[in-house]
Amino acid sequence: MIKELVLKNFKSFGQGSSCETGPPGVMRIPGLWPGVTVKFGGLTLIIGTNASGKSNIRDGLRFIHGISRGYTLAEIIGEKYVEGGVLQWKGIRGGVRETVTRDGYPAARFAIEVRTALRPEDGGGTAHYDITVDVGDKNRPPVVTDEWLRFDRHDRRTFEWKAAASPGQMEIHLRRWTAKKALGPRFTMRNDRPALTQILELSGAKDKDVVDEVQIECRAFLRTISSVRFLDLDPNSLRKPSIPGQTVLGDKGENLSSVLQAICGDAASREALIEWTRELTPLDVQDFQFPEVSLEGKVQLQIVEAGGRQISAESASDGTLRFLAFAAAVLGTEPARCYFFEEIENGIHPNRAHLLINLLQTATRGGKIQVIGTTHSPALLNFLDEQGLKDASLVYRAGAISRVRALADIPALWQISPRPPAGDLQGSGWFENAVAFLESEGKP
Amino acid sequence: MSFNVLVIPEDFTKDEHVLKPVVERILSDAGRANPTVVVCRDPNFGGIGEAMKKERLKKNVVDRYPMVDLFILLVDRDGEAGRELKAASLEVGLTTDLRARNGRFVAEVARQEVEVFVLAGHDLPGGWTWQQVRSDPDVKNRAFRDLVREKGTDRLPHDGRKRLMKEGVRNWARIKSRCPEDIGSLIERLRP
Repeated sequence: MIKELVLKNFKSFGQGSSCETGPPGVMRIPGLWPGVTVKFGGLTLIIGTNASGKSNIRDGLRFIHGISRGYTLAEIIGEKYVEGGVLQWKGIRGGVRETVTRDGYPAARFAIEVRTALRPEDGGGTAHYDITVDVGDKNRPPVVTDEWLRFDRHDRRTFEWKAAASPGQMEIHLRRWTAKKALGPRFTMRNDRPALTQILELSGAKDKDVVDEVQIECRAFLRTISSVRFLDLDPNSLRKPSIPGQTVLGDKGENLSSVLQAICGDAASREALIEWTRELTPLDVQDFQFPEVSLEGKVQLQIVEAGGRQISAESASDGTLRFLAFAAAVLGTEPARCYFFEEIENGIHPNRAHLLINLLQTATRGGKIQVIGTTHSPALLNFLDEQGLKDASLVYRAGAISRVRALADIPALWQISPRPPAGDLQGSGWFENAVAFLESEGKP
Repeated sequence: MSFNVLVIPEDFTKDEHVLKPVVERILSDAGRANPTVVVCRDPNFGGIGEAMKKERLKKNVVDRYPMVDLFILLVDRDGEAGRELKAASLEVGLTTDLRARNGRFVAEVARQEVEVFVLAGHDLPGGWTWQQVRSDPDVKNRAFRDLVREKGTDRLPHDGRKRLMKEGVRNWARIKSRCPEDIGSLIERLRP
């Protein structure tokens, strides 16, 4: 589970004119500026006006996720193609030039920290990873200028960036576990790709015991950031038939039919899906069928109503398909550990918002799935329980800079008695007003 | 020490861009250093009748903003002489309610409409005298419209009120001298 993300000089979460500049690979920014912290719970709604910076949080999480895929920094920020010219990864919106605040370009850096809860089978506790990137310029690729990983159960870092080495290289220290020596073995690695995944490729006899232990920790951390899905559902993709056995929902909703088919393979899950759909729509849903619709053997969702009326995915409403996609994502046979949904309420009628919240709260209750969603919908906020409201965050602008404040950290919200529905406050701009007053604290 | 001010218009959609810079200058002249001024967007009263209901103001505004030190209700007079009395009554009643938290509620009426503040900061459009502007109860549809036409802001949001007030407030001394009953009065009443 991702617990916290700290963005420093990343996109609109800039640090303004205090940006440090200097020779590439030498200076570091952590400590100079505290950055903007985003906290996440099991279900985290992110609210804020248009262009407040909500989607830049998604970009920050995508950057971290891109690291887990073993990509270079240029690939994470730019794009990643595989054989046959197939686009495997869309980069960070705005590319290198807009990844840092404009006033820091070209000699600019950004840093991202992430804290994650480790799986119990990996020993539990919290991992803390920090990476600083010099974004380079037209002649230099983005490079790592600082990086480390630490588990809270150890008093020393698992590994850390030590220095820039020869051109294109960096020195990474691994922690020595058993010896008294404070610093562990040192390895030279490429500086255009995070050490976190390069460490996994270390082999040979040199300090094998240390390398093995460090690799175990790196893998444990990577598991917490690799299973993240950024769904940007598109009705056309949701409608497309898919091959049975394709049980992972694509980012645009591809494979919805075969994912639902797999869910319906289990009688209890099928019943649950039918119940959710009945609640959401006025349809008297009796069953789901998945007839073969192409010569390649692709199947397509068909909703069966009382009386036998059949509604194919082609003619089902966008909202129904989106809701089914949410259900497929979180109730599916191979769910990710974390989902990020942009404008999560799209296509859902306000008087059904409670169902969406209910579905997501049900899915996240056990702690195995985490959902983060941006929303403009006051209706969604109205149906959050107390913990959900505390876990929600407001993104807002203070001048040109985006800031984030958890609703739990807006004291006035918890002072109003009786408290109006949070969605009413959101719709009225109350949250933005409240943080404007909070920002004024400490003014001369 | 922060000083939080919430301005309550009768219709924020049009009035907020006029009232925020005006209130900031009023507070500055009143000797309130560095206030944080926010215009209340909810409820959008959408008219004077709702904006001057004490219970609604208390429930939907005052009670929702425990962090605010000063509330300023600033609505149009629209040529109705009785509106000052109503404002004074609201001010007394709500300030009494706010006493426990050391807050204050001030109500004022713009003569005759808040668009007059915009006009006060500009050279008047052709054919208008200041006396005519001050006494016209429908200034937003007449003199203000002429100003909008002359300035070419009719295709901007809310007829360019934001831009017009930003330009107008540079002539703050002229605005004060032209609007002593409302702006001048507020400056005096808001001194610490």
